[in-house]
Amino acid sequence: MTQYFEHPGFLLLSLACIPAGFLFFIRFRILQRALIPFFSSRDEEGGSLLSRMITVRFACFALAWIFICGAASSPRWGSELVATRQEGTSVMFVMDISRSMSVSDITPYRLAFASRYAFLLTERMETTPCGVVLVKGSAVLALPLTTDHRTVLDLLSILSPSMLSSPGSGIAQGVQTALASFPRNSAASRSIILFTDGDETSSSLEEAARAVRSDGSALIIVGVGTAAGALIDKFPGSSDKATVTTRLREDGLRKAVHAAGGRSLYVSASENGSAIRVLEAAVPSTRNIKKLVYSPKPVYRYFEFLLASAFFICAGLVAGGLVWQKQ
Amino acid sequence: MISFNRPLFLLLILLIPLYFLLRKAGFLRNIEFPLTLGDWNGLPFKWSSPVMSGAALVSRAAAIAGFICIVFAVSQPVRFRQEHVYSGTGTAIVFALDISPSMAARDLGSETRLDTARLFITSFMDKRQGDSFGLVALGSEAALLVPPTTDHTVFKGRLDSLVIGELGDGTAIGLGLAVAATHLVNREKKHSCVILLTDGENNTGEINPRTAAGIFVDNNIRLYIVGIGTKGEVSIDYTDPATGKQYSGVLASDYNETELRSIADKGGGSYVAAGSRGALESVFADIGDSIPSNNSSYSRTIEEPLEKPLILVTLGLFSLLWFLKRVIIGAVL
Repeated sequence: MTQYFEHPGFLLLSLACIPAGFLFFIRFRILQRALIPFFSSRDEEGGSLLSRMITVRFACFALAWIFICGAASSPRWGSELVATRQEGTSVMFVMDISRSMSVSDITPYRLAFASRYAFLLTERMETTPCGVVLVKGSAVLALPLTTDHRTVLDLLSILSPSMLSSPGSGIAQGVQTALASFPRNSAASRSIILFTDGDETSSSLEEAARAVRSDGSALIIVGVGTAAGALIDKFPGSSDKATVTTRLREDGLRKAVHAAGGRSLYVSASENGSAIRVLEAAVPSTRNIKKLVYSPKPVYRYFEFLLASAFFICAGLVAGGLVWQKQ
Repeated sequence: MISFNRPLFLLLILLIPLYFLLRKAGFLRNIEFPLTLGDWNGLPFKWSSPVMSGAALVSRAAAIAGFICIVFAVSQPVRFRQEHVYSGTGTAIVFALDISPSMAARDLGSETRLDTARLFITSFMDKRQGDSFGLVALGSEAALLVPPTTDHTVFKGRLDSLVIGELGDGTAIGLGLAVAATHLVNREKKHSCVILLTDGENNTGEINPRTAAGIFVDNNIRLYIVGIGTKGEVSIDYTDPATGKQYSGVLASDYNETELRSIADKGGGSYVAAGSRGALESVFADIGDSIPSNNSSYSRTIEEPLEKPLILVTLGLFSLLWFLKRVIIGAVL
C-alpha cells in the first residue's frame, strides 16, 4: 500500500462515508414514512424519484470525499527522472547489531566479521566522509558524516549487541535513519552500506529501499552469515534452552536492492572480491568529477484525485438540483 | 514566492457564482419540502434561533471555502526557494568548550557564560553552511563529543545538551586542545582550526597546554583562544550533575590571560578576551573573517508543492460542514 500512497492512514478517513451514509438513509426513511400520508399516488412516483436522486447525490458526495481522502494520503505512481549535479561522495554504514549477529556461522562471528569488513572499507575510503548508524530494535545515528576516520574506526572496533537495549531487528529503520542523516545541502552522492543477516523483525526493508531510490542514493547490502545458519537461544538468560536457527536471508535482501535500483548492489560478505565491488559502487574512482545524475522520483497524483473530487462535488449539486427541478 | 503550475484551473472558482446564478434563475433547486407551520389564518412561525442561523451560515461558508481550497490545490500551488549546495566538507572548525562550573556565571547578560557561548557558536555556524564543525568539551577531562561533520543538526543537538560540570570541576585546557587537534591532523592540506572558549586557567589534566599547542604548528591547524567572561566578583548558580547538589553564591572570576596568550603563541594562534556580549560578537566576526569558508558549489531552485496543507484544510472544512448540517442543524436532505 505504501508503494502507492505515502500516508495510507488518511485512506481510513474515507470509511467515514459508511456511518454517515447509514445515518443519512435511516433519517431519510423516517422522514419519508412520516410524509407518506400526505402523498397522492402521483406523489408516490415522485417519492421514488426523490429516493433515487438522494442516492445519486449521496454517491457523488461520498466519492468526492473518498477522492479528497485519497489525495490527503499522497498518492504516487510512476516515476520521472530528475537531474541532480553531484560532486564527491559520502558513505553511511548501517550496522545491524541485533542478537542474531552474534552467532558464529562465519568466523569469528557475524558482527565481528562485519565490523572488520567495514573497518577495512573505511581505511580505503581516504577523504570520503563516513558515518555510522547502529540498528537493533531501533536505529541510532552513532556517528554523523565525518572525514575523521579515526573516530569511525574506533567505533567500528567496539561494536557489540549490548550497545543498544531495544530488542528486535529493524534494519529498515536503520536505512531510513541513514538516509535522513545526509545533509540536504551537500552535492556529494550518497551511499548506504548495510551490514546485516537480513533477519528483520519489522519487514519493511523494501519500503525503505524505495525511499533510497527516490532520494537518488544507493543501497549496498553486505549479507553477513550463511544460508545454513546457526542456532541461537530463543530466550537468552532463561532456563528454557529452546533454540532457533538464524540464517542469512539473501532473498529479502536481494529484493530490497532491486527496489533501491540505480547503483545499489548486494554482495555476500564471505564472497571473494566482494569488498572491491562494494568500494567501486560506494566510492567510484570518478567520485571527484562533477557529473549530472538522473534519479527517478515518484510522481504524485494530487491533481487527478482533486480534479475527480471537484467533479463529483459539482455532479452531486447539479444532478440533485436538476432532478428536483424536474420533479 | 507562490505561483501556480496550472493557473487555468483557477477559473473553476467561477463555478461558485455560476451555481448561485443557476439557482436564482430556477435551473437548479435545493432539495426541500416547503412546510408552513403556524396558527390558522395567523402568521407563520419563524425559525429565529441564532445558533441554528449561525450554524447554517458557517456550514455554507465551509462548503464554499472547501471548494475554493480544492480549486487552489488543483491549480498546483508551489513555492520556490533558492538553496545553496556545497561540495566537499569545507573548513573543519572544532570548538573546544570549557564546561567547568565557572561557566555558570551570569556576567554576560542574563544567561550563563555557557549559554552565551552556545548562542554565538550557533549563529557562527549558520553563516557557514558548507563547513564542518566538531565539538570537544573540557572540564577535568576532555572528550570529543562530535567529530568534524557537515551534519549541523547533530552538532547543534549535542551542543544544546551540554551540561555544566558533566566532565568534572577542573579545566584541562591541555587535554582539550590535544583531543581537538588529534581529530584534525589527518585533514592533510585542507583548512582546519580549533576555537577554544574558556574562562579559566589550566589546573588539571595530563597534558601541558604548551605541549598540546605544539601539535597545531606541526599540523598547520589554526588556533584561536577566546577568554570568555569578566574579571571580579560574579554571581553563580549551578547544580553539580554528579551529586545533584546546588551551589549558588559569588565567584571571584579571574583567569590568567598571560598564560592563555602564551599558549596561543606557542600554537601559532591568537588570543582574544571577550568580557562582554559585544566583545564576543566582534571576536566571532573577526574569527569568521579570518577563516576561509566553503563557497557553495552551485545554487538550485527548490519547488515546494503546497497542495498538502490545502487538502488537509479541505478535509477539515467538509467535516465541519457535515457536522453542522447533520448533527447541529439536523438536516435530513
